[in-house]
Amino acid sequence: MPKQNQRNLSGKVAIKRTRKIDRISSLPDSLLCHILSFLPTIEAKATGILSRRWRHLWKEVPVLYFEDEPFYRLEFSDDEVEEGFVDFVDNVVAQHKVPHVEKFKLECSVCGEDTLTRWISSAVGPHLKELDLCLCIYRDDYPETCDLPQSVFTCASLESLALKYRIYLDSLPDVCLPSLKNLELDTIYVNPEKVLSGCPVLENLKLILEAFPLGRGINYPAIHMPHSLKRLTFADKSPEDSLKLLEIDTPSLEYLDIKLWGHYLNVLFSHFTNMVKAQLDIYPQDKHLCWIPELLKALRSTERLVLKLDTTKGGYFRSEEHSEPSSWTPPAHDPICVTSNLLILGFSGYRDSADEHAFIAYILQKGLVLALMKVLINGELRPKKTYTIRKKLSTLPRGSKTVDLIIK
Amino acid sequence: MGSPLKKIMLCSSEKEIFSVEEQVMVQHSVIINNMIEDGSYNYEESKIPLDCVDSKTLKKVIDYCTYHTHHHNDNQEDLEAWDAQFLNVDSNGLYDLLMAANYLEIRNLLDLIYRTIKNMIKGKKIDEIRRILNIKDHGFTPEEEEQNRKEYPHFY
Repeated sequence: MPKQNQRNLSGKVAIKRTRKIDRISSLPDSLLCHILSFLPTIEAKATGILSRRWRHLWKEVPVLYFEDEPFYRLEFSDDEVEEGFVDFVDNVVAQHKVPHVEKFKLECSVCGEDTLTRWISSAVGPHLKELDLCLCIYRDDYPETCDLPQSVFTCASLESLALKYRIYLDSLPDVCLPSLKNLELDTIYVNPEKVLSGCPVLENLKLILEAFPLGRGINYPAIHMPHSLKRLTFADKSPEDSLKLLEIDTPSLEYLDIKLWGHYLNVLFSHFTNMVKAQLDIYPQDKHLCWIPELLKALRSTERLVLKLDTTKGGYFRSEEHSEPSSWTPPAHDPICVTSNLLILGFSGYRDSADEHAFIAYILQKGLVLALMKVLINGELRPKKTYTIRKKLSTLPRGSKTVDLIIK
Repeated sequence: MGSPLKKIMLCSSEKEIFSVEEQVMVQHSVIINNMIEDGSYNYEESKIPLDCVDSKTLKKVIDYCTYHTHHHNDNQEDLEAWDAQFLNVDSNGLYDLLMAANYLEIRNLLDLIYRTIKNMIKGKKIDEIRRILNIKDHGFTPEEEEQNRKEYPHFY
């Protein structure tokens, strides 16, 4: 471009574009492949009909993403869906030109174990970084075991692994995943302890323990979260008293989201000095209450804290009648977590004991950034009493101008 | 990692100088992080020449990195809404951003752009995708085009 075109008289830059044409099509192949890698393989393959240049582009994409959902048609039987899907996947694998896939994603509930094992085995290789399986495996001897290929659990290059839906992992091999940073386990049965013990550098964990549908119970007594964790999402829907020990000794944790029944006999945790956001939804059970206040203490320096309903409920407040003198004393120094971190607080089963009243009044007054306080009044109280409580609580002085107080 | 208030200079293709908090660029751009780490950037004299990035695009890239540095604790929905607004540009703008993000190796911005382009073509009919991607001549013979039509009837 001649120099005089570049600057006008005011010195302001004014590059002239000769013609505004769409230039996405002029991107190099490698970038186009990247765009295709975000599409399910069935759609990426279809871009082969766009033009001669695109014809073979999909074969260079190092990502395979198969889902059987598009193969379901109203008029098809399960057998026809399976046949169509198996043909498609086998055909793609045969034409695909990338020797080692980096990312393999499979969502399937129509194929048998042999077929799935064959595909997964062929995907697991020295360059695989991400494996995402959302499967429902049907077997004749269901639900004894259905094994994924052992190589899945010893893949040295794997950085992300997700096992979801109805995968039943009973007899796991020894797990060794030295590069794994992200793990999602949300299956009908897995022993998380066995998987976690083989993940020394894990940073993000999403662990959902299902209520085991067949009533056989679970047979692992403890879960130790890997020391290296930075983000943890943990939901436990398993039946009461199955898990005896939960250890969250993870000093680098920055994000915590737990939803569980408080039935653990023993919960151990480190002090979370790096916590940015914590969300607790714990349903306490009287016999093992002591660890919940301890957990709250460990979360003192959390920047944003959300306590869902029930988490603060339970036997913390002893005196039942308001006439009794309050035995709860506010702390000598207002904790920073209350004054500047606590955003949302839920309190259920409120009976208006002196202690409870003093506690709510304290939080409302000292919670300078509190956005929402939700108090659920115990349902056994008479309507008139409820009305009085509502009136009394709503006139309490508030430290935060924007707090939304909901009393039900 | 550099100290939070140090500034670095970036120079666009039009030789316009942009002064940016070092931390903002180091956190997002692999290339700039490498330059700072291996000491090849001199704070007194250096400006990083970005000959293939024009001022308008560079300003946007800096906006993106700055916002994501200061708002990384925001909730996901707010960030996504901001991102969507940020990428509300024409396809030329998107192309410029993609090339800049690719050059500077800003991985989260790259991913965001790839996803945006993916969403532009996902679920569309073949003529529509060709129009979006500006494919004027597909280069297929009539026989091949007929074959494509047979194989993917729902795209036509």
